[in-house]
Amino acid sequence: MTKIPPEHTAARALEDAFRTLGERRARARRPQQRRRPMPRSASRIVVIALTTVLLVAVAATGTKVFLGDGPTIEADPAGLTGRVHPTPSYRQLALASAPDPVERQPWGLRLLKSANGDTCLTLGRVVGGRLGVVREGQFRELPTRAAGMCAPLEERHIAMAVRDFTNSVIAGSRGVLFGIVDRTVTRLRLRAANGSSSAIPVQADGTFVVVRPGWKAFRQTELVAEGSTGQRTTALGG
Amino acid sequence: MGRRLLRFGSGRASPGFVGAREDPSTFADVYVEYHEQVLRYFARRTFDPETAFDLMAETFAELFAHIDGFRGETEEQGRAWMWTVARHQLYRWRERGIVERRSIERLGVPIATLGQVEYERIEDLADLQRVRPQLEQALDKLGSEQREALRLRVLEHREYDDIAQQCGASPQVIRARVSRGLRQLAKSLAEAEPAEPEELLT
Repeated sequence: MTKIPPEHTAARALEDAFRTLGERRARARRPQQRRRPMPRSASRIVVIALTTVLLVAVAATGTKVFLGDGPTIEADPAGLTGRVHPTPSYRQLALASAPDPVERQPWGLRLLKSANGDTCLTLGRVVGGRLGVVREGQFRELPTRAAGMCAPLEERHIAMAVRDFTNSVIAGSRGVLFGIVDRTVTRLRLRAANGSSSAIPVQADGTFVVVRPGWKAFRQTELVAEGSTGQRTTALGG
Repeated sequence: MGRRLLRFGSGRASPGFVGAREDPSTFADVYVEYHEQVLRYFARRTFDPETAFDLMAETFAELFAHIDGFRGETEEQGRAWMWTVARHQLYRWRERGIVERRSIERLGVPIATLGQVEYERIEDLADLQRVRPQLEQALDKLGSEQREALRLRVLEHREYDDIAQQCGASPQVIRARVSRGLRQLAKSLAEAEPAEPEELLT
């Protein structure tokens, strides 16, 4: 069906992503399209009930997730996902971090939930418990609402990304692999083209970060995730 | 390609922008249809395969994110909207020097590393021979290592592995030198480039 040649792996991956996202959005629309209009009095009652639930939801998750009352970020309680946005006061970092091979500021992650309930990670450099970017030696904190990689962790069990930084962005080139797993994943490792493997430390909140020097540092490397749902291998590029 | 575009414009049911607004599961078909044109547009203006790919990805992510708000009724209007988004991406990249990844990251679209074949394909799309005279002038402004890498790659069409061997550096280092040199060239050519991308539809 696709017209993109198989060797154009990045373009094909993007097509797959748009297919998945499109199907999810289409699925999400279907129940709304089938629903009949509600009588006016009934819709008024639903609005009042939803407002009450929303207020309770904001109060409940505000304590657990956004005020940061512990090192582990817990998922929103069932039924409340998709209704709560991160608040500007939320600044908690995920547990995973990794030293940079050249500069002194380590790499870290911010972990949060998107408005539609996806798990999101924002990658950056950590200085004084704050997440930001380092440009020409200067640290600049990322805004709380800075975009990150988002994925439905409940469906996929693992969400991860590789970012390649070139000399124009950072002193020297760097590859950064980062992500999060749920409790079904018990072991993560990187497998090189020659078959050798190295374990990736996964923190208590499920997050992980690996930093390697060089351009396209994860080329010809696979990420192997093992756990109760079996083994899954993802090629990281090239 | 021309025939296919004609079909989109004829008003028959198609998996184009209008169709994707009604049924988002067909948006991937819009991407498949147009991604190479958009990639070529960016490649010819950035000369950097990675940057061109990221700009293309962000363009389609933004289109997908806002497909519900698309008000057009024809495929032509859809394409006009696509080029408007692409132009804005290019302007922002020129202004800020980095690719904005707002929609990519909000949607959680994974961006895979470009393989060698794909990287070189995007270099071909950039059609560097078009700007050979400007390139030769621009070479004088570069440092000696960058100048040599760019000369061997672009003017002499040498493979990265050959250049690496000749220069005593790794292919990755050579790629980085070529990429940096071309980015500088892209800046100097920015104002001379045609603003309208419709030329690329053929």
